[in-house]
Amino acid sequence: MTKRRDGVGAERGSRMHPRRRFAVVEVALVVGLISAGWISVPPSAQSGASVADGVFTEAQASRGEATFRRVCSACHDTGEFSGGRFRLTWVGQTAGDLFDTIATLMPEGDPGSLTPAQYAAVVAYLLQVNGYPAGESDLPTSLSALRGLEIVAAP
Amino acid sequence: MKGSMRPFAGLRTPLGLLAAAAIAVGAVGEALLAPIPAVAQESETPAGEWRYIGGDAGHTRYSGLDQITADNFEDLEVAWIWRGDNFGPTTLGVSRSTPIYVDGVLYTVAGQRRHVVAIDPATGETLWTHREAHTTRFDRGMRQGYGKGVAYAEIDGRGVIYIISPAFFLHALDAKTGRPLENWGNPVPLPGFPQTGVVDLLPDLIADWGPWQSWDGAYDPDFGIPRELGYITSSSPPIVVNGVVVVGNSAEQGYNQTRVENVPGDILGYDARTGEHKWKFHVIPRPGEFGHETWENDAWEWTGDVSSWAPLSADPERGLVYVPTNPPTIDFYGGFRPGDGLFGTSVIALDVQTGERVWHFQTVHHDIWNFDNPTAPVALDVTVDGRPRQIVVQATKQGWAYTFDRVTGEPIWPIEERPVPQSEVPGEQLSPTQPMPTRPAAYEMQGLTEDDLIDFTPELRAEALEIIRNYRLGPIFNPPIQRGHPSGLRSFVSCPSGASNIHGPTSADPETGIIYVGTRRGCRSENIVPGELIDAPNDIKTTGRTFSQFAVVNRGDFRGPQGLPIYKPPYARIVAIDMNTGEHLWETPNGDTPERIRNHPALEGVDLPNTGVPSHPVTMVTKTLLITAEGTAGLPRLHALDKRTGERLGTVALPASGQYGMMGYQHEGRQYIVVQVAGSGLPGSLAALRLPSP
Repeated sequence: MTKRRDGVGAERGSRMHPRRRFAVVEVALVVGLISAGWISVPPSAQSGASVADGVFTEAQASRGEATFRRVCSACHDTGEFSGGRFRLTWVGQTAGDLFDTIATLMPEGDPGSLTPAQYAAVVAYLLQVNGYPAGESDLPTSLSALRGLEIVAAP
Repeated sequence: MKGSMRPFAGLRTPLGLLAAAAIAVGAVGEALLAPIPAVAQESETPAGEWRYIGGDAGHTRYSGLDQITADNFEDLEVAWIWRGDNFGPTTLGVSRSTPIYVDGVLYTVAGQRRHVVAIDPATGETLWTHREAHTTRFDRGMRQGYGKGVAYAEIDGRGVIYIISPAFFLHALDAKTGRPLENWGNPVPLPGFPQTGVVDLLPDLIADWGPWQSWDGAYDPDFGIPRELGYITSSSPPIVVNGVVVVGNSAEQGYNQTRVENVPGDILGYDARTGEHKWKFHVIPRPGEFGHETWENDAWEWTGDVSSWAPLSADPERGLVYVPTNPPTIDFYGGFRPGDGLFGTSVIALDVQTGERVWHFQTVHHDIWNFDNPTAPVALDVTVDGRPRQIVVQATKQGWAYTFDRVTGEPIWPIEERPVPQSEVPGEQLSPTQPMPTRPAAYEMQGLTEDDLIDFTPELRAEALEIIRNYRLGPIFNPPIQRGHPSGLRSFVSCPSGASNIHGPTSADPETGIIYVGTRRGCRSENIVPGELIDAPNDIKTTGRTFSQFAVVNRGDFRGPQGLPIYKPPYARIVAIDMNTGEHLWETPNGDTPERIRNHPALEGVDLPNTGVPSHPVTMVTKTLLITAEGTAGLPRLHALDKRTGERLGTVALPASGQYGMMGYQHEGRQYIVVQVAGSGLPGSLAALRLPSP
């Protein structure tokens, strides 16, 4: 028997749901995402530096993982912040936007309660989860410095 | 259910022996006229004990003890702290399990793996532990840190502890030793599993399920259900009622799913003495079963969830178990499953002996808002319009307390079907109406309007008005819009998002019929895109085959100005509702204005009201007091409140902030309060408080 554990291939069209009229809508949506400004490059990120340039350290990402497990994993799985979800939400924005969003919204109920270094480490961990390479120095905690790092498509 | 009326108040002897002894001496009492059941499962917890995670089978979280009063509350001191480190592959920073206290011992579960632990109630010493062997099913789990605790029953005079693991096994352990029960359940052919005292729940769950029956492959007890078909886990203990272990379940969060197939979360009943499978209730009705016609597009055949992830409650006297349910698979889009979708987002009363539906009420039709029923329904006896009523109350994310006759399911006060906005998302077809209780009044804001926006300063209000221009606001049940919607709006906003939720279950005073509901203000604005764009085929947690036309890409970016909530305070409250009349008696903010808000630069010079702490308050009721902790975002403090007025009567320090729930018991003559805590350097832990030695 085949267990097919390595991945679940979607059976597109193998079961024709009467309400499944995807293709045209999907293309229109992707175009819509771009034209509606969902996928854009903020001016501050156009210095050329990006999160693909080895902008965090392995150690920092490990600290971020520990914080994620202790604080974030009570409600979140990394799957929410990786793959297509990460790409569609964050590519085109900056590490500063990601940092600022987490720091001003999370943890729920007590946003801003972690230290800037902890938030930066969580960002480093999420970058690592998404396949960006580690480098020699920690991701900075300054919002302006982080805004200079564009989130480009993962390598 | 009155604590003072218990026939065996103050005694800790197992009830079966007590009843036998009482009959032997010819004691008079209505309870003694009934034959002694072979399996003793008392409907009322002996005074001083806490035999269910919710205190009693009706989950009132009430303790009839009275040593701790307004006068001595501030003398409370920490007797011990039980730390939850080292009970899983990593430290769990939350504490979501309320212990039970039976016959001189505390029992609960700890860590991601749900180790069962017995704890000395006087010292906090760990007496025994039980660990389930590792399986791939555990690794696939999505609700590992949501243990909530254990169930208990007495079998032939012996105490038995029951749990459901994240890998979806049912375990029965001897309460005194922690050893697996002999001659119980079925051997599990996996390394490290005992040959008795355990049941693999999956084969019983899927045996009569079409997608499994037509699956071409053998059952793999390590891996569980094939990924193409779905996944199921647990996030609560079972409940044992009249000799039957009732097993609920839990699915992957609907906002994480991208594919439409899944396993229905059918409810399972097992013989508490033997572990034998007794019955199954189909939460997605099959052809010929009640409610089947509420599923169109044949979605009943292949979609799933409708899990009962919150704890179950029961009325043992009437032999009924109350099951709160989740929506079907995929939150925020249901185009592939048109129809009301019974028994999604419902309260179901089942006959505990047969598993047959006695009544149900669907609280949300065709739920796409993540409005699952998040806490155990609370059973109370009250008097409404001069008539004694046995009720069950479901506190909800919507901020309504749906109230039913718990025998018949009839709403105590009218619940009206009212028109709601309709969806513009391709393929989505919402119910034209939703049931809305007329009483008690909603205890949280219903939708977001300009009037609800922050108005501490004209600048903040102007900023908030600017923010909402990018969103579609509306009343409760405001439907999602997809990314790229022709309006150009970023998303929809639906409030409340989780008025009552996992944390801070409702508590109640059976002597007065008052419930104490915790509520947290909040809005949601999920973004949805085609499931195909965000699907992760190689993630072990991805299940199903067919992409949903839409799925949640992120939880939204709707936030207020300058890091402040966009709505007016209070950010969380405790609301007391008299269930004899349905009237709100009082409400009070949860804790005090947080320092972060008090010292916010944009609020300098503003005369702030008490905004409360933005987390779900944690409560329990005693004979004398309403006891509250402030929740995950709050200060590490425990408060005593006047049950009739909400006035704060005393405050003591906790080692860390209170979480989820608390409980109380009397041990060796002394009253204890055990609070689930975490933070301030502590992992998920238990803190026990008691008065100083006399």
